[in-house]
Amino acid sequence: MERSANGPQPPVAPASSRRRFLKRGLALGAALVTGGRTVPGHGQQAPDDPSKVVGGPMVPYGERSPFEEASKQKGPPFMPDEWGGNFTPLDETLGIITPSALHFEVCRGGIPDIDPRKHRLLIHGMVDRPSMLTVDELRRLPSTSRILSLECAGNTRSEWRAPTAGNVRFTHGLTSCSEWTGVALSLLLREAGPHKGATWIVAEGADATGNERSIPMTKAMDDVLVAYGQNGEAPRPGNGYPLRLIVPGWEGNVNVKWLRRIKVVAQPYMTRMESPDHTSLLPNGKARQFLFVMEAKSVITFPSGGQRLSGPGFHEIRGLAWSGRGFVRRVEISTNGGKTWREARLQAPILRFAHTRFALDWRWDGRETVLQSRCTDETGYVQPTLAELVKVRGLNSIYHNNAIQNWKVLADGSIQNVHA
Amino acid sequence: MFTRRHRLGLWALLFVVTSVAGSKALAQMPTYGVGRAPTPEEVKAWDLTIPPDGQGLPPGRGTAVLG
Repeated sequence: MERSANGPQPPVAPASSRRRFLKRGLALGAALVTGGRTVPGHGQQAPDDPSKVVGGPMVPYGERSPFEEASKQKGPPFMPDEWGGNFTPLDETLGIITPSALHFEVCRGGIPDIDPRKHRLLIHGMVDRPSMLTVDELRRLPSTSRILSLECAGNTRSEWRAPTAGNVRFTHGLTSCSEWTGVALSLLLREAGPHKGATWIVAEGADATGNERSIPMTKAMDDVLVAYGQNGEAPRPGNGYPLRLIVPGWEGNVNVKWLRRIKVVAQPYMTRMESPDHTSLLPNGKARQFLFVMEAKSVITFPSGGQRLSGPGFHEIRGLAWSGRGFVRRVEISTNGGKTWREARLQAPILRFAHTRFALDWRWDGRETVLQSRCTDETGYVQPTLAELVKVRGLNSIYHNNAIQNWKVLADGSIQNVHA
Repeated sequence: MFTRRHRLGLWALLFVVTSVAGSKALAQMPTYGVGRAPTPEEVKAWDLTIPPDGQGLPPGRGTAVLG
């Protein structure tokens, strides 16, 4: 019934799009019944000239146009919705800010349902003054905002042995960029008065996994935030509502979501998420631990896997670069599989630890070729090729794959994920 | 923008800050006085984090092999 109210289905092939459409159809159908007026969108006839009719009502909390479809994608598909990654569609986002609704999520115990009035942050352990704080109390303290990218340590993990993911969502979509607002953790720690010898903290989340991570005191006192804001409003539930630890430049998992406890301690605690997980096995049988910093990385988002060039001629190559060590200084692009490189334009604003957007004018001659991007950060570190990375790390590292991505352009304009 | 000199300055500042904050004798009094002291029961209910040396484990015994 609801479906017919929305007219015929658009010609969408993938099952996931169809499901999304059906869900949207239900929502629109409900709106039609309750609101008593037509809603533009799929199956709805938008007027040919919108200036000839009165438009729709203003609403308290804005939704995007029903014509817009960019969505996160869950993976791997065989896992339940409470576990795994929900990838940002980097091929569809614009500028450097990821809309909160499209910010990637990784969950291992579902998204907790938290009443902010009941939520508390406990700071205890090796401190003079243990403290229990409400969210409102944290909001009263001096506030700071920073635009920061956040990348899962496991981003691009599918690509070590063979080109596996078909598109940039699944190769690189576990990175996003938001403006985060909150209180400096250093302020809270100074208020608590850490003891001599307190060299680490352990941060814990309030979700079903009780995610805990050890963080050195030097970083905790440097630039870490206890965030209660993301892009101008409270963080989305999947991104840590109502409090999230934000650790600039460090792997996503230490940016503890649903933050409820900080214990000040004298050693790392070797928690679940920093011993079997988030450690990298090297060829010599030893494992690297506490990798923390996400190394400089870039990826071309257009043209990228699964897309198709309309034809030979002008195309703007576009992409994103970031570094856990600070500024992106330079991005170079090769349109011939790494034989020669040209410097891309970096688009302002260029911010430390944030996504930096780059672009390059390109005239495609219609022949097969391979596109690559590589970035250099403020320390002079250059993004490695996969071969260079594998030489040092082997094939069992799982995490921190920041290798150069190859997109092969076929003669018909279609784009494939390949290893050079 | 942070130049190398700025960064050196920041590191120096960080060293001073952490040295001061890390010294109990020199611990500053709180500036804001926001929040309250937790009760021992509240801390006990949440503090289930056990360091590698096993400190804080409840009474009992076991071995890795048994586990």
